Amino acid sequence: MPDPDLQRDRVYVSDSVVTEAPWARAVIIAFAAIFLALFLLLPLGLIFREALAKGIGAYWEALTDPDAVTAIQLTLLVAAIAVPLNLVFGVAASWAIAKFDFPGKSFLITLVDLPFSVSPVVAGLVYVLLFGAQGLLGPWLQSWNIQIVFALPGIVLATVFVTFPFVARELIPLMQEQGAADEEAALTLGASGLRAFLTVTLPNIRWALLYGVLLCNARAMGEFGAVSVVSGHIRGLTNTMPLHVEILYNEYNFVAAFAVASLLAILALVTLIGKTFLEWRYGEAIAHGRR
Amino acid sequence: MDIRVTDLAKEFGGARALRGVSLHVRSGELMALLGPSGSGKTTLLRIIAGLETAERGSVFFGDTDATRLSVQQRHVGFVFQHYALFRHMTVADNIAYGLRVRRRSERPSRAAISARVEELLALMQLEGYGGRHPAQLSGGQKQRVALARALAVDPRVLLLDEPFGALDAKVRKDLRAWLRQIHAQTGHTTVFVTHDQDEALELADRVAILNSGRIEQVGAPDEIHEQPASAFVASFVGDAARVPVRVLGGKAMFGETVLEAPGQAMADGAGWLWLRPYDLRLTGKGAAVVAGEPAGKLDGVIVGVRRTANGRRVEVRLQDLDVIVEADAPAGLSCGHGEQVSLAVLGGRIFPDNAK
Repeated sequence: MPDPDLQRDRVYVSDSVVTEAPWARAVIIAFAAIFLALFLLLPLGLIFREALAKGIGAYWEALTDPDAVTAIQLTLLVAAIAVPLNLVFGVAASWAIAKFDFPGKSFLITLVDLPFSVSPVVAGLVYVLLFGAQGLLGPWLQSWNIQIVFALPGIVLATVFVTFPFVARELIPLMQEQGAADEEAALTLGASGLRAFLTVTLPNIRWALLYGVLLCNARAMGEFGAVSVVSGHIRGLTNTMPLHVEILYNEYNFVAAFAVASLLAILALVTLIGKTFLEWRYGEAIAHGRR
Repeated sequence: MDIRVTDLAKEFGGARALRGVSLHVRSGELMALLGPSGSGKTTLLRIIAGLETAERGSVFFGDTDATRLSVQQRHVGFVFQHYALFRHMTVADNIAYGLRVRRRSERPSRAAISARVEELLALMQLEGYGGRHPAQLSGGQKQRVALARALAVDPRVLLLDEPFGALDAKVRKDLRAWLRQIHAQTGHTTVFVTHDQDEALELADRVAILNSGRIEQVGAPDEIHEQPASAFVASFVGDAARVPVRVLGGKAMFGETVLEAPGQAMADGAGWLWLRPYDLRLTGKGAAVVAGEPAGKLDGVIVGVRRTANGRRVEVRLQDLDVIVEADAPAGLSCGHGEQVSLAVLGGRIFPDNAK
């Protein structure tokens, strides 16, 4: 019969090893809270204050301005193309990395991370050098009358490049941890490769996939650097929302700039809320999936 | 349906996993592939299943050459070491999976599928668990679901990879008896991989011993244990100690002692005598030789005594040699630490010195 007091002592001891004193805890939490308030919440609040500085009418007018509408449409269109592409690329790359052994595998993992380590501006410049009028493939493209840089294809390419890692980074560790046994089991039971993917692999990775897509989407809509280089800033034509914000700001049209910026901020908030909701609603399922 | 594999070879990144393995599993037989880790036993099983392809050799199910068949076409039941249950499906959906993925023309009706699932749940003593998810099951229950899922498609053969490897000792023991029973009921030709010799010897009709990509011996458990075909088998299966001997004219010489070489012909030269505890009879120092027993005697000092469930196991350090052999002590014999004793050699196996 173990002595209850002794047990309580042991619990207390093991607790105290990992738990700080109350005052230290308070300081650490306060520090984090102040930091977040100063660098995240305050700027976020300021965006909305500036956007609404001249009343809701001016705010609405800025958003319904034809150029703004075009920018919003372009941004949505780019995201609608880039996100599904990266969904497919990300799943394919993670599948290859997690389930197969092949020469150059670690190189591929490095490549997946490349967009994170390369400045987006450099990424944009690469496309200009490759597809621009004076670029490597420029004359050939021109002879076929194909416009890539300073047009939608260039913006999509740059966005795809920058947002590539999001889905893959979410999936690779999960799929590596899960291994290939589930798929093998499905195959031995007679399922085709596609069937096994749809009924076994996809359900196993769905939450991580959704995370990845949410993050990928947020970045696709918010990307500035790479898109700025390849878009050419043609008003009402190749301006995405972030570029439109910059132009308006440079023209001292603060209300309009912040109004469009507030849309981007709302998008970020919706993404965060969606992610939190998923974690709260399906936390258990996510935990199971990870196991 | 019997399984015949001939001359299988497989390499993984330069490491030879299998070096020409041939094996015949008889129809309806329960066979164990036993070997240390890295011996190639799992690779062999996966090649039979079609989950790996061999570089050379062929696999036959009955008269069908399955070497070039895909894993789906081979129609085997495979149970994975960590069960590989589909975690997002219920137990019933897991079991039904193999039936539901069939082409429409071959797929049983909904009612037939759920009847089959119920039947298997009953066979596995899992009635009422159909609606649960794998995460809500214990290890032993998961293993039974995995087996039910493999059996649902009525496979040609049943293959199990370390079926009890991830379970605790008590559950292993229960499941062992239970698998034997299931095998008797369903009659599938069954091959299972294990590194646990107790499991292999107790459960299997025949055991194939693998070592570094080769089959050392195939035989019934008694045969494997009593007539090991190689030094590796003698050392791997059961407790055995080896004593260096010189073979001369059919007799084994150990120092000045002559041992009647127990029952097998061997060329003259250096060798090892493998002794199991029951090959030795412990007597007091200098006790008379019992009539009819071989004259060979080894002298030594007791260095350890263990109480086991069925008697006393004594460790004896042989004179002039750094070899410790084990023997069972007869009741009534005093065997204190450091006591001088003699060991009558009743049996044992001699294998040539591999170094030569």
